[in-house]
Amino acid sequence: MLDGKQLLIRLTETAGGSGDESNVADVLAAATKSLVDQIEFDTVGNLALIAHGESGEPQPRIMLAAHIDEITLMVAKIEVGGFLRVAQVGGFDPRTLLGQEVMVHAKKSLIGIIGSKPPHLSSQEERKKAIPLYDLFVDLGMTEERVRELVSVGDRITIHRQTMHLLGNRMSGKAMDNRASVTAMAICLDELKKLRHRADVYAVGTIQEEIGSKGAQTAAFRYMPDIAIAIDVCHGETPGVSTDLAKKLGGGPVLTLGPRIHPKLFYAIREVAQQQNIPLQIEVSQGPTWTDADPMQIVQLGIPTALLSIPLRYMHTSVETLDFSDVRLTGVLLARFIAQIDAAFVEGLTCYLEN
Amino acid sequence: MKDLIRTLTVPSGPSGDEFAIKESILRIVEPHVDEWYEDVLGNLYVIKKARSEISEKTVMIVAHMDEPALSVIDIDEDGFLRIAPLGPLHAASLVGARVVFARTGRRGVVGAEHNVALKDLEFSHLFIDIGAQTQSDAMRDVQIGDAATFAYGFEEVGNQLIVGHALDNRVGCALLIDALQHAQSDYTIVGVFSAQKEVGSRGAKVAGHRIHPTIALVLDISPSGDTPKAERSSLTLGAGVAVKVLDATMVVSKKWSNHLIEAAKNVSASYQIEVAPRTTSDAGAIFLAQSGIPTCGLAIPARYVGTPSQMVSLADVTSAQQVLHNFLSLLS
Amino acid sequence: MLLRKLTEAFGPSGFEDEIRQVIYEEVKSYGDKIYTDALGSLIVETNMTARGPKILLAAHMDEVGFMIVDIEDHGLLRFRPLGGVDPRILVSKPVLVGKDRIFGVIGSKAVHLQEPKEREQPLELQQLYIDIGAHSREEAEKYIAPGDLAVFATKYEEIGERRAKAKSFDDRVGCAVLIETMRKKFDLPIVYAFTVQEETGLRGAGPVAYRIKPNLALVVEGTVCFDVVETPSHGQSTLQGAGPAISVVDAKTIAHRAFREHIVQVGTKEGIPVQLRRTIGGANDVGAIHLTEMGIISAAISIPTRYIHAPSQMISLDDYDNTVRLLEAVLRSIEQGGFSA
Repeated sequence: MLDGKQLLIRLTETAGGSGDESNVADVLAAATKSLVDQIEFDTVGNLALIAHGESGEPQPRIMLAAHIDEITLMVAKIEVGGFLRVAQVGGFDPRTLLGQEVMVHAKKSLIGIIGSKPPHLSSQEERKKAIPLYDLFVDLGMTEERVRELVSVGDRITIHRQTMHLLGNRMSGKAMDNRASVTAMAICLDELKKLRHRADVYAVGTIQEEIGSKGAQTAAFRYMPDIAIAIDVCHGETPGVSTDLAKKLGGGPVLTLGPRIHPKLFYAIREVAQQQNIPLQIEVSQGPTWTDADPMQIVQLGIPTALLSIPLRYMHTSVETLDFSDVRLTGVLLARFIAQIDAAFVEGLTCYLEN
Repeated sequence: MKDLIRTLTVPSGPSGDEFAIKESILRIVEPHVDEWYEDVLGNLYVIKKARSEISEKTVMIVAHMDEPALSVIDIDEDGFLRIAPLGPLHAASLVGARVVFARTGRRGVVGAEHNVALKDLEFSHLFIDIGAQTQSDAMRDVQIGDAATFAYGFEEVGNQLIVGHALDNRVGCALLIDALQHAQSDYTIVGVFSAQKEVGSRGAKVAGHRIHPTIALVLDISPSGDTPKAERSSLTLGAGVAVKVLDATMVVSKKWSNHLIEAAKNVSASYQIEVAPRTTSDAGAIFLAQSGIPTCGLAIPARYVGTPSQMVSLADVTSAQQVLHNFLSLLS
Repeated sequence: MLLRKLTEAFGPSGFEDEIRQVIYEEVKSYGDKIYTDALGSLIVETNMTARGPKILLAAHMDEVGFMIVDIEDHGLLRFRPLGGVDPRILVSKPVLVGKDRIFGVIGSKAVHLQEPKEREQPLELQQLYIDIGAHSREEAEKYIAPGDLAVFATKYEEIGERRAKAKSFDDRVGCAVLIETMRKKFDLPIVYAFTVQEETGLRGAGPVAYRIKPNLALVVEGTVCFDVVETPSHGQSTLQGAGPAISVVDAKTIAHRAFREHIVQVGTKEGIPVQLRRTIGGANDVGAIHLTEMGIISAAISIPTRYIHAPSQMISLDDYDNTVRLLEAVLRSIEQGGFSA
């Protein structure tokens, strides 16, 4: 049986920025190869784990999309003294980067610190303002000469962080967004081994979500599924945030309702959760979900699309925190839903009229 | 190359109305290609078949031919033209600019209403004066929907530096023409002179879908950071062509940026790395076409992008030329 | 009365069930094949074996609206907009809420209770709520759940001289033009599409264009019009009563020049007043359609709509009639080979 927590730790501690996901894909492929019939890399780097349904009539095709990339920085310029200026690949809150340890993936892996001016040297005015990314730098503790030997503009910088167990089922680390969902997808494949399912499942580790949900769009075009489900993280409940924008850690998977979600998929997944006694939280959305669901819905003829999320606190920081029970239940719910899909259900997804 | 670039900076090429620049390009490349055609968006496609028939692989090389423009949205009773921008232009930097209408060649000057501070200037405060007396006089040469671009000449300054209003991206067009004339490849080369890049790579989007090549390469300009208090960029004029690693639309896969770096090493050309988080290119739109297209890019560093006087080094153009030829010859 | 029926129907972006069914009842005897796609766009194919260019006529059936996102302890409903609504216009407007279409009013703290400084500020969404008359959260929950929708409760009425006011002329007026056009016979393969989710990002039209692969596409819209006191000519976009407006450039499209010029010529020849849309702000389904696959020749014909996206929008019924005439004339010209793709 798949050890989900261990997989999550391995995945989160692997570096895989948008456009450079192959290491993460390899970890995922190794962990799931015994669970699927076929593993496929496409020309742009998406990883598809394919589990065929029971043979027979034409199979409904379902695609799961969990993005494997994480937000990173990139060396934009080497300054006098060997300090590195950075560009971001995906959206960090620069305020969380101050004093952060990072790993520069140069000719060698180099640990660096994002430097900050100590309070003693800052004016009152300065201390009132957040420091923009433009003013941050990475200090490698080396001479400029040595830095120029080892580091090139364009090298990746990831957060240097070991994943931590907090109390109970809580875990914290970098890149929980979205390796938590990748883990849930692997758990789903593991569960599916124990279930009968007619649908062909394309579980895709998608690339470049953090810079515009790119891999999900091209993979959906390639596999043209009858149903697509994005798996991503949503905001976990913290004080002072509206209840419709944040969900409870440990409260179960979160299912989205909104214009970018197919209503019949929403209701069907909710019903499966009820049948199976899986706790489910509902999130409502009024437009973009900012996940892989958005582009998939309008690929080619349009694809009925749903979104399942795992609540996560402190999104886009180095201490993204979640409750592992939500990860596990997301995988279980997905598998139970997939097991119920048949051709008639798929056919009903394009019928909106009452005659 | 210098003369080719000079020739290409003469025609006006507003986004969405690229017929004049397209005609100039076509006149030059037609003898060197096997086939050409246009599409609904205004893209020009030129095909040069592979040197052997064995491979069915294609490389699509894309250089946008359009430039930011001013679109006429209203003509008042006294013959002044009200305008809105097509592409990244800033209202405050346009006051006093000389412009030309692509369709009729009619020239004009951008004026501004007086009661607004320069820093608060918006496009609704600007107008073009074409020297017309009345609305009907103006409408003889300009209609609503017509577009004007900067009207400034091409000059050489200092050593190896050139200045012009549309070097972004006629330099890329010149490099593509040069490759079609001289480069050899085992891949079929589909050259795309793309339309409507400045309004969001609309031409590139449909070109990617139509051609769906094995690999795509984008030729464009990228702002350098080597002037006083410039916005940060590691690019320097004269230090060689820039191999695209990141721009606002795209992260290039290492596999393909490394191919370009290898090509530079093969021909001993100097090169730099482009990490330009605020610069757009056609690369992102092409990458997303169909089931995804591996896409890479070469950029020519330029100063004063977005102004009537963009500056480029001919040494960088030469380096780009060499790298591109070598890259194409090694595709197999 | 078609315009009344269409504008008073309920159908925020992504939740077009009611308006879709209303349109279906109007069109079901005209199409050779009528169906919905995965997103819910309603597609009516006519005369598909006819020769001549295949034409897609599209109008979006969704409207801007609101989603209930939370219910407060005292029974008031928190909401967020679906599509682009200016929050400054919301206070004190009636809405219809939820599956039972019950009345609600958008309320805020009474002006008497506000500090002088507060009164100068526009009201933000966080200061507004929908009041359905519930005494408590428990009572409200009997009628409403988070995720339920609301739209403006505006009646269609004809006012002034040949004007009409209603909610959602954007773009039920386009839907009405398509339905009237469908009742005429053309010797052309024409597909009528009533698209979804235009207001939340031109979502529905792209998949329809991908499916139909038309040679020509025409979108009929309600478009921005501000020909009112103290607005200079270049701030108006369109004039009400001056005929259908043809798009030149907007935020998502530079119009196909030959096609838009052809439409203007047809109008001129037939004595139908036509104007050009004089702003680059805004966008419509052409933005998605013209970039589909290898590119599609497209144009937009719009009815000038004052106070677009607001609770009471105004159109000229003459503009409406002239749009119906213009669309027919353009189709006849294509039928006779006057414009080919």
